[in-house]
Amino acid sequence: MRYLAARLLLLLPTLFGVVTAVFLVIHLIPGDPVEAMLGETAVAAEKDALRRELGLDRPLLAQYGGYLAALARGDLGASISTRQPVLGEIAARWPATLELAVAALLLAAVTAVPLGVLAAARRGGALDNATLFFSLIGVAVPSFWLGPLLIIVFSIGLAWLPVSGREGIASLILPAVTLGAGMAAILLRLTRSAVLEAAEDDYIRAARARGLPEWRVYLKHALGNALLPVVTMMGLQLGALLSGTVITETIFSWPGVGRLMIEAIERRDYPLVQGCVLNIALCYVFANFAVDIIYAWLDPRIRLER
Amino acid sequence: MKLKAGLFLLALFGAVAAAAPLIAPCSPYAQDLLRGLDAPSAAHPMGLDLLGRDILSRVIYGARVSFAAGFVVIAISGLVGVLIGGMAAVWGGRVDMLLMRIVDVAQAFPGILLAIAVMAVLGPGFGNLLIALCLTGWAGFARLTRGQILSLREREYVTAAVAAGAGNWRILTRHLLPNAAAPLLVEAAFGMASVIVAEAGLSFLGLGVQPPAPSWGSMLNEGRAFLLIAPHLTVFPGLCLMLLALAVTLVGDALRDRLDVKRR
Repeated sequence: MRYLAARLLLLLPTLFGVVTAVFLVIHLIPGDPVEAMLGETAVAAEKDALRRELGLDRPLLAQYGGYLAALARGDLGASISTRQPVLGEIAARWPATLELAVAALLLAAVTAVPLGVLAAARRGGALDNATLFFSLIGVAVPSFWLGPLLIIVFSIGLAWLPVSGREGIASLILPAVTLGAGMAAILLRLTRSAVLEAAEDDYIRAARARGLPEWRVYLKHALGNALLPVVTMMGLQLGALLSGTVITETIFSWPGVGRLMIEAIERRDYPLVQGCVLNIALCYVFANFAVDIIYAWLDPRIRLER
Repeated sequence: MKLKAGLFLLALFGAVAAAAPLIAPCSPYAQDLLRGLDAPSAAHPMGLDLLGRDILSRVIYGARVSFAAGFVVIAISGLVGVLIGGMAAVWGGRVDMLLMRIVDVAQAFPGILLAIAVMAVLGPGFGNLLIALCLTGWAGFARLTRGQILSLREREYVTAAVAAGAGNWRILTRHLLPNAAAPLLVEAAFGMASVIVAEAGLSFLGLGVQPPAPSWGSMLNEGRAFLLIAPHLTVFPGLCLMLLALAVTLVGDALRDRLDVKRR
């Protein structure tokens, strides 16, 4: 409990910093958003009206104050292109993004962890070499190449899976593989080396000496102790996964927050862009917080330290 | 083995980028609209794009964009990061506190999200892309430099230098930074790989390098509409991007093993 409270206290400055940074990026970077939105041909009266509507005619500090106050009420302003509240637009897209991210995470974990254990158990064997090779490729392959390749093979060539959209479980497979591949590769390498490291430890020798079957030694004892770095790495990779949804959703026309953000940028809908950036960044901050808590729960040494 | 394979690939891409005007069979901008989307042939080994431009030539020139982004962003964000991390470590106290909170915030944005936000406001273009990636990239160098200096400062040779009357600046440049070089070099190698992929990613999203300039990312973006009838638009630029990212990662891996650096 004390650990949880201490960690919550550390969360506040980060949240405040992220909220401020997003404001600064949108408001301080040179360039006139009003002119960008209306085009250079717009008349001065139109520009002034939009400026007033967005509150851009007020001093920066007043804008910042207004922004914080609105944010505290959960008000992210209204989208310029649809006139709907930004928060509602984004909330409607979160389920798709979460579905994709969770599917990618699960896919990465259920393929990488068992393969990593097997590779470690048969170190130097054919399976080990093959998984190492594929994990090396997996780390380097960019999702915006892997995704189109998967479409070429599985949607166009074999016609097994849909090219894009979000209709049923079949449409989830290719996006989840595209998004999860990088993480799977990293997890695979990490699981393998963590199990190998654990296999050198005394308690493994003790387990063997007690005559436990080999699979039990690996599954129960080696993997159990290798799980901590694996969970840590999953946490560290969450950021890549979340920002990866932006690209993956674009490839597969997946109706999530990332796709919405790119559409908003194309339409120069700044309130919506700001809302999307804020949403994804805050989601990342909270996910990291959750990982820290899980980590403390898995490893009593951390939570009892203070 | 890793080092050799990585360096070989890297040298190959480097030579291709440097000698682009000499080895490219066509101009990367020369159009032949009537033959748009033609499949690979003897005359055009990687085929033609929608406007009938030779994809091999565009891939060759695209290597220049990737290298330019990688080197410029790592040089600038590395320098800024080392300076800020060094300042935080040497001055300590409130300066350290303030600078590290800024680093925290910069790192609280997942992956390329901050760069996407900056590009949304700045508008597309190569120069803006470099700015966006530098804004994202410096924080890792700052945190690493600060950590290195804080731990190196306790070493005996630093105490000896202080006893010998060396000033702060001399200790920083003569003793601390050279000894922090190995982890910084490894960070730079991995950073370069992610900058190269990030440049292509932003260009793929339409936020980076603009047509007609050839970036592997924007070429992949152009290929998206023709996956069915012209997959060669997608296959070749992506393959090059993956191989270059792989080469830089392999070099980083090998450097880390050789220099015995533990990453985070």
